Amino acid sequence: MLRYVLRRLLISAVTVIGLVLVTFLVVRVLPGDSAAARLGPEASQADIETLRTQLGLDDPLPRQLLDYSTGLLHGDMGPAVSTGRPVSDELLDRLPATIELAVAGLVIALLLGFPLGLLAAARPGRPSDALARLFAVLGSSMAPIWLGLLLIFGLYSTWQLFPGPVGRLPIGTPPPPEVTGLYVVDSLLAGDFALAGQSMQFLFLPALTLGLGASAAVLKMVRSAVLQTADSGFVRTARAYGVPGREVLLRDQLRNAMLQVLTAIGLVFGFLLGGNIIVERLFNWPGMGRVAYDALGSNDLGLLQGYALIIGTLYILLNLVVDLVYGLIDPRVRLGGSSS
Amino acid sequence: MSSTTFPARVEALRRRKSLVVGVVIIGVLVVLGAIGPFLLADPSERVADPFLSPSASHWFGTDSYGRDVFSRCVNAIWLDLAIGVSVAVLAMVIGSAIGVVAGYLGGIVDDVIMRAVDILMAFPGFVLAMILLVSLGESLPKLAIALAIAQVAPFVRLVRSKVLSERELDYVAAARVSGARWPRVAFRHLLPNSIRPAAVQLTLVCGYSILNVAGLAYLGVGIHPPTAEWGVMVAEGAANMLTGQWWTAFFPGLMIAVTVMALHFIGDDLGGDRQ
Repeated sequence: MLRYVLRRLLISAVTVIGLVLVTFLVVRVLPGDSAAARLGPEASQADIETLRTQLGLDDPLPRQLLDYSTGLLHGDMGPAVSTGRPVSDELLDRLPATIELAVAGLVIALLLGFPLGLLAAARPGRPSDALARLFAVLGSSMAPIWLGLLLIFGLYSTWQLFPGPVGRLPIGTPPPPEVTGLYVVDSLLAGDFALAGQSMQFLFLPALTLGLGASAAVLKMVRSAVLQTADSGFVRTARAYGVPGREVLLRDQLRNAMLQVLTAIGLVFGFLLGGNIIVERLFNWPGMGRVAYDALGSNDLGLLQGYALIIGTLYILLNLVVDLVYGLIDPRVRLGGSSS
Repeated sequence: MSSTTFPARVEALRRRKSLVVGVVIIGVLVVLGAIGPFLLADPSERVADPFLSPSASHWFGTDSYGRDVFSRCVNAIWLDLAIGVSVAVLAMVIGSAIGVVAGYLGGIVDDVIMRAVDILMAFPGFVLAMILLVSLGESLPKLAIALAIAQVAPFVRLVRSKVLSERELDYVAAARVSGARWPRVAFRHLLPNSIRPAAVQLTLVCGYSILNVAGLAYLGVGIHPPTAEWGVMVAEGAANMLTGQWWTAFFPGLMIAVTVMALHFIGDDLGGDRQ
């Protein structure tokens, strides 16, 4: 197990280093000039030069990379040109809001995708299967922005079931005392159940927008994972002993397919993190995606670079955890060694 | 295959419903996109009052400038399909070439390529495309390139894993002993036999790209107004959704959903996922 953990840790570390390199290269080496982009078309050549020197953009490339990575090791991503605050502060302040939304989206995706995937796999080829798969196709065919607009139009504008897209709480409501930064958790910790309910209401529509799309992916993975076990020896044996089909499905096939669900969580989380920039803008959700959107507007490449780096690192960390849990549960994984 | 009778072929197609539905939808869209622009109102001209709701004369209503939403949707068909197809083909060409090389050569080359693929996969595709586009500067070809790079990784993986099993077969050994160098073996012999898994991915990526273009348009990068493009139209119409003019964003979004759904149907069939 120790060897497996070390190996996985090493691979993740290499991937993170690669991530730093790629974000660095994309932003510094590609033709775009972040100083010129920042100052806009009216800027004089002299102003651009001054800013370039300030930002260290005229140093030789290896020097820039060295400066950048030493900064990173100290948690410093440099200043955000558009706001003047450090990039890391800009983004990490908003991390809890993004995590809260992504986790809520993941919960919805699992609650929808898991039972439907099981239902589809229970009778492959039958109407229940066809319906579940139609749901999956529909879910993955809608642009997140469009789905969000439809939900806002139906559940807010028309039926007033949920609050409108104004952020995490009604305008003017003070947030709960900060412990974790997740409003639902914090207000529960503070014993304020009304506030917890309110934040959940505000959380619901953006989370549903993210979760519906992701549930399609979960559904497909659960379905194929369960169906794969259908041909295995233990299922045939259970059937031969006369165990009813439903029991085989829920007790044997499902338990063996659970491992796949872990992988699904890892993949879906990436999807949720990638989609959040659109959903956060649509619902005025003050998360990291919102910062990235503002950075797009003001051409702040450094801030965008930080955003990509944090999102990528989160994704790598999550997949590391998934792999470690996988290895803990399934001896074949940790003893099998390299599969790639 | 070619000797089967006509009724047998019809019967075979009847069992591949999702393929038929997908191909018919895409076919109708292509035809509509080809003849529509000659019959319909100019997509960039003000043809009526703003915000007319859908009616017999304006099927999808009019938008905030009084432009005909139906005409704009139809005019966008070829643009959106062209973006989707070119991104998918570009990603497949790059990805399969890399995948064949990695799988056939193995060793260090394979290790380095697969680590690079892991790094690419660490970005959600949408974020990667966004960053690339902002750094490259915006134009239609650059949009296609940025979206394609973001989708290369799955092609590399799919083709590589097929090559790993394929390269042990006799025909590869035969090619090698006949004196072919490795590029010839890899690209002339292995690639054609290993590309099938990538075909499924091709239809999916085509759909993702249309979705991603819409997402990028909403963030103000990629394609901009007043271009008649579905994503741009959804983005432009987003504000009207809250004030009640739902049709300005609804119909272009519906076009996206129908198109991507049709591509999914085709992909499901090609993936052998039929009933």
